[in-house]
Amino acid sequence: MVCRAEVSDLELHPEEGQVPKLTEELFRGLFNEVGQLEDDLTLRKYVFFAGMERNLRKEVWPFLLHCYPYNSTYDEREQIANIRRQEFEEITRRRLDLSGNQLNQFKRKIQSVVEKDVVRTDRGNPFFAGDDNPNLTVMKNILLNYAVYNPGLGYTQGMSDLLAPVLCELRDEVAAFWCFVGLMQRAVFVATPTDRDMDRSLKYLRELVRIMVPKFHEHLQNHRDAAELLFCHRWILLCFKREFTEAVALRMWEACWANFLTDYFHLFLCLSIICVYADDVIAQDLKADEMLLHFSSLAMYMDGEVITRKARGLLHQFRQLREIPCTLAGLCMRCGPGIWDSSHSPRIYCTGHEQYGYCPNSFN
Amino acid sequence: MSDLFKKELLFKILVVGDFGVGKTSIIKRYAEGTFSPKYKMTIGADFALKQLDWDSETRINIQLWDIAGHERFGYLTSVYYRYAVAAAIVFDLTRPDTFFAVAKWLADLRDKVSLPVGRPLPVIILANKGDVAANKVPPQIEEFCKKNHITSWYVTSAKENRNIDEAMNRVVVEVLENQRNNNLYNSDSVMLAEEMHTDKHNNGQLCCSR
Repeated sequence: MVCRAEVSDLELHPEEGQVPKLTEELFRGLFNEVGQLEDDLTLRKYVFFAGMERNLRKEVWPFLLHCYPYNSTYDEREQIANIRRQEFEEITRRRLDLSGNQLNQFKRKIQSVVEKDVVRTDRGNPFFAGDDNPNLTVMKNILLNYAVYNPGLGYTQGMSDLLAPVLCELRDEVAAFWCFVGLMQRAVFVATPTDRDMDRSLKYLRELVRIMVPKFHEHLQNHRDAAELLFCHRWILLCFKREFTEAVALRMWEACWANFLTDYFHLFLCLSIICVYADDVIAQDLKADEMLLHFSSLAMYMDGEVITRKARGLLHQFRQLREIPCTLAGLCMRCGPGIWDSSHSPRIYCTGHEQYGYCPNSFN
Repeated sequence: MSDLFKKELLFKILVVGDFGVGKTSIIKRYAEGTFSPKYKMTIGADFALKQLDWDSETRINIQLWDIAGHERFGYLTSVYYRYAVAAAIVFDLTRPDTFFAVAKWLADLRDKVSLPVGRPLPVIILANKGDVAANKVPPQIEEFCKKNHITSWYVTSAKENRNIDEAMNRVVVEVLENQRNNNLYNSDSVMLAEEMHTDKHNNGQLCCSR
């Protein structure tokens, strides 16, 4: 049995299909005379629902990834770009000045991994293909500089996969570096590769499944370790990059970066995939390891457009809930600056922390 | 004996080792018989299946778990390791550092995986990329194995398909011996294997193992 990816009109976000794609003309129209984006919500709404023309990415992504504030003027952005260029050069200098023990450590812990990974990242993309491709050196320099810039995080496998599309779309070493910095700073997005962030994402996802796809939750309860959700670790770590073709995956990235209606859209994308394929998994009574195999065999065969539309619908459904468990209260909080169109303030009920006398998930 | 009456076992075997030593290549070579110099780095959990008709009575389903070579998640790694019955630690003959990391991987395995009755996990070592550097086997390897109760190590080449089947067969032998020695056939580990795989073949299970 194969589930066909379908989504009925009833399951869609009410504004689905009514928001235009961001075009050059629409984009230019959003700036005032000094170059400020006064209405960033509209920009983010376009991106969230319909994406953008590809040639706009190099201009729009730096906003989405917080390189430039939305309300910055043309002049201010030029200044920021200049400062960033100098900073980047300074970071490069610091890296090249490493010596002795520090240099050894850096070579062993960072550089050797980066060098191994760069040559196996997106080589199918013409931008990175072929021997001695200079863009590989650029990718390497950005990753090494990032490790110098943020020694706490250094380099973790997966970063090269996140950087490559950014570099490819922006075609500028310095701009790509600062966008990458912004990408890695997104508090809840895929990129911060620590136990804690992944753990939190999985906890939220388990709760979303419990509330919104109860039959699948029941299935997870019936099989040992199924609730570890092994099958979606890679979805979250690489933000669906290995599950969909690049064009579709990048649309998903943008929709996540738009921070529209939620800072956790990636979890609704996970939930959407689960929803579409749940019946199949349940009908075959797949166990934890079989689910992993099942979903990894679906990679590159799922309809990303349908999944994304359904994800927006699920987000809408979630925001219609009058009450949510305390375990999901964090999902309604803003992680970064900016506002959503209207606040979603459901009643929050506590899921059984009575014995402690207080709720550990309380934010009040 | 027809297939229907074969005893089916499921072995979860981990393949660990530093980044870029060729874990994915070894797994693909063993499970699919193919090799590509272009595998992407492994992120998250993944495994491949290989079915072995071990003898006239036994079919073994091997799950080879591809564990990302870059330390990342303390807790998640232990989820990936859970219920493993053996492991292969891979290093790259062309990069001496990766051999020194073998001890670290071994410690991690011993720390996180324990078999019922507290037996240590059977482990083998694969010195990979033997096609380019077969003569660079670290001289300490014998002593290292002896000291750590590792019975075998192999120079392998996923590229040239050298010693991979031999090494994996050796792992299977060790797992079977381990289970036999411990008289584990009725205990958790094999029950797990059967439970994980055979409830779709209930007839076979009833005929053979009860």
